[in-house]
Amino acid sequence: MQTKKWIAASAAAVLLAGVVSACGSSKDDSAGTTSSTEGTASNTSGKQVTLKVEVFDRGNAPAGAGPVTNNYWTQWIQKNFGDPNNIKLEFVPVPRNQEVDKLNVLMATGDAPDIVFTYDMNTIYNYIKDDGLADLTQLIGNAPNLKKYLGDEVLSYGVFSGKQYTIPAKRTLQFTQSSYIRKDWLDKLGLPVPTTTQQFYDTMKAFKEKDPGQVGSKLIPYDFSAINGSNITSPFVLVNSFVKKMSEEEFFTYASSNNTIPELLKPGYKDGLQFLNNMYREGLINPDFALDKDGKQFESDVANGYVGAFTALAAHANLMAPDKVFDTLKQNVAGAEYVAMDPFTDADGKTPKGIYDPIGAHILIPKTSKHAAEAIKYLDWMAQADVLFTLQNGIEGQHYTLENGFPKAITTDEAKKTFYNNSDIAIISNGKEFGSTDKNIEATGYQFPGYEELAKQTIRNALKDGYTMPRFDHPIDAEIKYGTTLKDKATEIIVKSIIAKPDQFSSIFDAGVQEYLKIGGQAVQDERRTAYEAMKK
Amino acid sequence: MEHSSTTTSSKTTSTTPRVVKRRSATGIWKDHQLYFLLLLPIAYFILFKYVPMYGAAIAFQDYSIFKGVTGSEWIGFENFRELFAMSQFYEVVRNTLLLNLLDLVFSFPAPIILALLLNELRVMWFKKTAQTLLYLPHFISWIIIGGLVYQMFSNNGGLVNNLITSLGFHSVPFLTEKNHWLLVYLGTGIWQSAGWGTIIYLAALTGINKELYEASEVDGAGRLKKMWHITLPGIRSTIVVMLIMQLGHIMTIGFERPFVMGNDLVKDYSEVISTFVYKAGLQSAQFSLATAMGLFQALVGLVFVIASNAIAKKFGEQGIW
Repeated sequence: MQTKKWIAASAAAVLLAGVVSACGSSKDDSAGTTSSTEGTASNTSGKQVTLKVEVFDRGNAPAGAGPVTNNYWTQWIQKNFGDPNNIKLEFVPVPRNQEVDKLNVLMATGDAPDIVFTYDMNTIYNYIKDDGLADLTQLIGNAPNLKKYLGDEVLSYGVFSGKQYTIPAKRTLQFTQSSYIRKDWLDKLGLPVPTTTQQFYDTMKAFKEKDPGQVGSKLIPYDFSAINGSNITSPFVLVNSFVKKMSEEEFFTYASSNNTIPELLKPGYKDGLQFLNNMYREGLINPDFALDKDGKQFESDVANGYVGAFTALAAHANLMAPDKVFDTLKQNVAGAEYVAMDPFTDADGKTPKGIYDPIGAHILIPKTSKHAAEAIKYLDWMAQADVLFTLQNGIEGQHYTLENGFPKAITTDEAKKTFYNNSDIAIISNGKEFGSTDKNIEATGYQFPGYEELAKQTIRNALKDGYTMPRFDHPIDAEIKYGTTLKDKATEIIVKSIIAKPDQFSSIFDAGVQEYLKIGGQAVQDERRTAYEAMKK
Repeated sequence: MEHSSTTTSSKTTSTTPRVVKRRSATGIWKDHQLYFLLLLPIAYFILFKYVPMYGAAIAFQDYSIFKGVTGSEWIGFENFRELFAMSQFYEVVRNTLLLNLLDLVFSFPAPIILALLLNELRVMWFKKTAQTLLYLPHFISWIIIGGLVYQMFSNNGGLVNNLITSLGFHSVPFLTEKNHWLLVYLGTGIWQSAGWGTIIYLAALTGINKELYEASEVDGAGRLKKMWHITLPGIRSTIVVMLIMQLGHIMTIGFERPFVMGNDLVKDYSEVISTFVYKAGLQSAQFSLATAMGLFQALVGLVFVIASNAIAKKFGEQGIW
């Protein structure tokens, strides 16, 4: 009898312990698997340090390649950087399209990796305001390679209130979007590649009426997906070309620090939307664009040959990499081919478009990190020319061959298996550096075998008449606070305006703008204007 | 979450009657093995339901993720003041109530009707197959359902619209016009949950005394009369309990369904409390504001449960406590 009781009691206790430790043990498990896979750990004397590094997980690992946390390259880094320095690297995956959410969670638990990064300025401002980032002003002095590689201009983007809080990655090419059009359709109709907005419109009408691809009701003359700032395609180059000349003050006031917030208030923006509204009425754009939230439907429509033209990120892997959209299109439709175009002209005949700052993601080291020195060491190691070149291009003969001095990607299945997320590993650089813009463009072309010319031309288009966002030396508080809500609202207004009945277009847009101003737009505008005036004094 | 809590609570109730009979200390000692068994569900509730509640404190703080709950500054009701001043607040509360009320009106009776129909089936294999087919949608995640709905109802190439246009009519903007979207939203909800909901009613139906049916047959009652006078009164208390529980959730709305099915064009309806909390809390890192919203939501839910329970008791039903 007595023993029975104790069995029951201890059973309950064991079960309880299981519940209590459930959280903790799962963490131990994951740490255990990573350490066991890195079997080559060095046995140098002294305490081994674990350096945790964030890595984007795009869910695009080819079969057999291993996850982003443990593959050919994480092992390569461990061998070449970790082992000699007695550092164990642990890669922490963060899903690409939830990077901000996940980062906030990691930071809040005090368990953030030693190296994290984000593109989202609001998040960075919040962290600085809450004193959550390590001050790197001193530490960066120990990183000569890194300083030399990034240069003063790039580093200056990481200085806030006089302190180096972030290390911006260097962006070698500042392009964003270019437009693409079906060459075979143009040829069939005997039309040239459009060079003005009017020609573009006429061409789209011709596509719709004559249906050169014989695709019937599935035809989408000009396609884009839901407008949310994270899809590769958007109609903003078109809309922004309608924006009228502004004074410098207006330019600073109506812009946003975060170039994913549509700048509704710029004079002429409404005309751009009206143009799209008209295209919608005439069946020239995808009626379901707002439903395509992840851009997958867009890719499938292009690959199936339903789409006449679109505007998307130039030289983008989703389109041009092996087995991606353009390859699939070629298999589906014989002779189908896209060429680059740049037709959206403003009043002066120019084709203005927003381009990126010369920086990529901001690399941050959380204040909670005990390994800031090692983190900087890692970045400095990465900044060495040969290391960076290898990380970005792979091993010669295995992942690339040299052609005219530029690495040309090898596209066998075997090569792809050990080379698929390297741009996410080489975090200090966004794009490859070969010395000049022309050379950089040339080199980017070699990344897309079969689409070299298209890649290069889209980049040139995307850079033509480009302008960067105006920049203040301090964050705009109202933007931090209202940024997400405003972006949401602006998107809603744009989408509703595009599909509005023509006689309601104006009232829907104007009412939307009033609401936009009310929920924070006005506050942002006022603060930006004040900041501009202060800057000019 | 809900399922696990109901199973644990049923465990607790099954042990209570014996405890109630002998309240003395010796009684507790005698049944101590049962008490040990009870420890586990109690520990579960304390750990996962009560301990995390300390986090609600951040609704009254200017919360910084780096300072934590203990280090952040207390600011009283400032977050609530800000929340109630936001125009989006009223919109999302209205939408949550709207979607839930419509769900209550249309989705709540669906499993009851379905259960009554199933109950009338006499061919066993057909009944079993029908039941299984009706349960199935319950196990499909909303992400998949969202994809199915898109394939079915989109304007360009959607199955239903292809059919409509091939018959010579204009395509219907099922997903891009807010009132049509509402229909699709409700319909999908019924399709997904009605079959699963029948389980509890079918169980209640088996508890009805067969003699009542036999007696009514002698009295010459037809099928409909039997349904109205015997079956429905027989499951009335179950229906009331389910209704009270539904009312308790009137301010709570799942995240996946409106998030997956919604889009920019139907935001007037699809932006609800859960999606708003996601945007304000996780995406713009305004954790305090999002928590204040959550707390407010819980409070309203509580009021609804208490009120509906009181009303049920007034009408002579058992209620839930």
